Amino acid sequence: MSDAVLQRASWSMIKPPVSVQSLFYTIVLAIIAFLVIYPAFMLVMTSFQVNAFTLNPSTGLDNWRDIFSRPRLLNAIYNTMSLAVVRQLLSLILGVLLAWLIARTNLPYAGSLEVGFWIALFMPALPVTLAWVLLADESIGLLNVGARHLFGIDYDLFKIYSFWGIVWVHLMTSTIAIKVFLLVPAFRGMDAALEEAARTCGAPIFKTLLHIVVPIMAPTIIVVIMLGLIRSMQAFEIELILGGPVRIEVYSTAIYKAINATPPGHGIAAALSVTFLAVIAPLVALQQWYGASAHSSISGKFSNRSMDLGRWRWPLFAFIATMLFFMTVLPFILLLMSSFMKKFGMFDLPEPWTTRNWVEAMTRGDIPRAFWNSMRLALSAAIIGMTVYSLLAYIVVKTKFWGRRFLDFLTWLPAIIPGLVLGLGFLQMFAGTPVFRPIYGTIAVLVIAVVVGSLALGTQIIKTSLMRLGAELEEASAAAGASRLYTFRRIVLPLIAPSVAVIGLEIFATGVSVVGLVALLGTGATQPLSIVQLIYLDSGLFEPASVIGILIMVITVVAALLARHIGLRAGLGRAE
Amino acid sequence: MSQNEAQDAILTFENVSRMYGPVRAVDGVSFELKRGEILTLLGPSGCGKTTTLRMSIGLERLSGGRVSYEGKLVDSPADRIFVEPEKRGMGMVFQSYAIWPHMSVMENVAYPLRYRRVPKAEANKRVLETLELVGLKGYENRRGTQLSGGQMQRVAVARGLIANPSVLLMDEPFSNLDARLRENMRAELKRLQRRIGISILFVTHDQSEALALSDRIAVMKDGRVEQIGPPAELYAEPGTPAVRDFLGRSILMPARIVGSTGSNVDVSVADGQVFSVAGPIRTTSRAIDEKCLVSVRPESIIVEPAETTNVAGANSLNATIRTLLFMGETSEADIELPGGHMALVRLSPSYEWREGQAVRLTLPANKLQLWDRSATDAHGE
Repeated sequence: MSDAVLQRASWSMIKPPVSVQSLFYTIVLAIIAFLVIYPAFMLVMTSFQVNAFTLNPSTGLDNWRDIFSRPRLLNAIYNTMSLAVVRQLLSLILGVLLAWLIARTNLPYAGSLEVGFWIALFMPALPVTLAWVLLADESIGLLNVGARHLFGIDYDLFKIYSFWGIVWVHLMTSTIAIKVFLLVPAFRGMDAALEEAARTCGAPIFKTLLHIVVPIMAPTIIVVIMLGLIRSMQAFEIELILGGPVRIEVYSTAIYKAINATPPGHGIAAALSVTFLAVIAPLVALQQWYGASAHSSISGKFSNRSMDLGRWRWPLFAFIATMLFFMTVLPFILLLMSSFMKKFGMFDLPEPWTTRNWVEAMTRGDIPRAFWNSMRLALSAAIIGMTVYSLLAYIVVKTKFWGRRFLDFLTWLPAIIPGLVLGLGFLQMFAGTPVFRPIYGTIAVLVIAVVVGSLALGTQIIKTSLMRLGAELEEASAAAGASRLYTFRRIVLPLIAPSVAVIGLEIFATGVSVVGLVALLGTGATQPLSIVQLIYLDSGLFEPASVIGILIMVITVVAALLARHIGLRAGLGRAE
Repeated sequence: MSQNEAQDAILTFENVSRMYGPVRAVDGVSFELKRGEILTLLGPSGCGKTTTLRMSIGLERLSGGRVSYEGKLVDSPADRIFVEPEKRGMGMVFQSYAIWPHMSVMENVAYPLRYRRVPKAEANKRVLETLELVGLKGYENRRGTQLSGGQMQRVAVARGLIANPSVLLMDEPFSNLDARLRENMRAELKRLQRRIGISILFVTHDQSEALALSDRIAVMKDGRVEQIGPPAELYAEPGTPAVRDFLGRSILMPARIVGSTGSNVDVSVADGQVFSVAGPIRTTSRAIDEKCLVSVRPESIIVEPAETTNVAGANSLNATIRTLLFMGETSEADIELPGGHMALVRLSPSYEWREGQAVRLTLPANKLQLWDRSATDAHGE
């Protein structure tokens, strides 16, 4: 290789003269560091504040003594863990099987089923929880009412307010769907000959799944399990609604309850949050370490033929289609029913059906206001998120900025922190720091929280698509005489635009459906739809809650389908 | 050769077809794999050869026709018979080798024995024997990922052979190896096959591999078998333009029939020169003035410097060397024929050659074949 070529090859690595550019990068780093670290710092500080809302506040270890002296902490840890493990176990078995069926067999309409799981992944948790309450509540749940009427069963067949109720609703929202979403591309990337070879050796089709596919995919599957455990431990709203009435307390709901107690126990909540982070952090570290070390290499040349399921094709299709119906269509139908009923479940009323709920929702003020709050929140977060994540990803991947590794690390941090805890951190930061107090109580607080909350996911996805851009593409532009900025605008941006758009839609959907992250931040006038729904739900007003649930569901599903459409057109997420 | 002693068919395809939607990937294929022979399915990519191979073990199902193995029907849509691949008991070697990365060489090779209830001790003994047979003695504890391409290839062969199947299917097994290794493996495989007498159905798009390895070759094109026979026969007397153009090179010259004497046909080529053709005549008619093509293998053309032969013999013409290509053991040359036609021929090492040199070509009558004018294949030169 000649010197001239070498020089050109390292074009993207040439350090610009100490300049506006690196000054700008440093400012970006400082802002992100502040937004990520300061809330955590405030949490720790708050945990030492005693009697914060009384006349003589002081500093001390009282909160810590309090949480460790009560069985509550251990109990919450136990519930969090047992719920997480049971859920992950069940969803893993199903998820692996489903991903294999979709990616590697001649299951009919596998593509459409995959879209179904994509929609299920986006289904907002709170509305779906409400739908299952409407189905399996002890007194009004349609299934229990039906069982009583049709079969004369005089006990409650289904108990949604229970350990298994919580597990079930989690399985019906994103817990299975995310496994399918993460495993399908990995399974697709596997050489079909590895399975076929086993069959030619005498292994029946399901044995090849056990002996060959699962062991080969083990690294990916383990990463998915760890990710699932972390997500499970961070879950909030389902546990709050379904566990509350039967006193099943998990970590996140314990924190929520401490804050909503009288007097508000911010110190206790903060101390709980800090211990929560300590429980989760090792798991995240393990997942990061393992995920980085276990990159299974997939050979370039492989066949992608599908296994013939024979006579199991249609029964399996029917099973999965039914499952998807339960996950997506059924909740929608139930919310629709509930939103048009005077009192859900009271079919004996002379006029059980009404449009009053919708009319009131349109006119009463709080729902339209919450709707516009949600729109403002989701749109601003999407626009700011797309810009910020692209910028961060670009700095980390494509520059030689001295702080880029630290910046990369910072973008990961929010992924560790459960939404509710992050929200508490922001609450302490905005309410407890005089400089920020003017912002507190505006929608900007929620926007910042949502943008920081999706920081890890957003930056990672854009980073991946930037890394896939070969250096040659930019170098060719530079060789043609284009400046760095011009190259970014004409070459880089158009090529990563689809993944940026997908991220934008993802943040938008999050902004509309998010609960845990903003539950503590939305005050009266700035409450978005999701929080208003939570309040209605908590006070048993299922009918207006259903109206909101439908709005949230429709918006997120539309965003999900749009994201998939854009993503597929740009060839994201598919092996072919 | 071995097919002389045992002529019975072990694997039989009868009018087999395979549809992918409206596309006929395999269209009415019939052949027999005889006990102890190497039969190669040869053709360009997309000709249906791999599908045919996969149908013999059931990784692909038939749309029509019948496949039988060891005298029993294993796939016949009309009779609603289909035997799963795992129940057929054949061996197969995949193009990507399909060595399971999570298992050791030992576990990979022993895998087929798991399903044949072979006791552990005996299984271990057989694995070691088979590894020795393929030249991988001492590698049994390596992991699948710690092997080179050639070693993976051997593990794949060992795994295909361990259960003593009567047929080994091989799907372009050497295509991922570099050229030198590929030639070694080719010879080694043939030696191994001669030693253990297994029948092999082999798929490749590499004609020299097919010629070197096979007892018989079935040339496939567009889902059909064009011609089936021993390599030398196919090479010397191709029955169709596809076979002619796929196996080796041919020089084609437009010509016109001017007469015939016995089985010979006389044709006039571009500059009015009259050639006598004594090889197979594949034209539909022998009528005078019929337009046709004369084909000849480049190595059959005798090239001499024009100054050494002053007598214009039969079946000869004058030409000029335009480009000289020195290939090491031989030389080749682009020569310009009368009428501006170019042809690549092989040159004898007994003369000195230079570009621009006038040469005399002699085309032996028995090496010439006659074709219809339309009979040029996509691969024609």
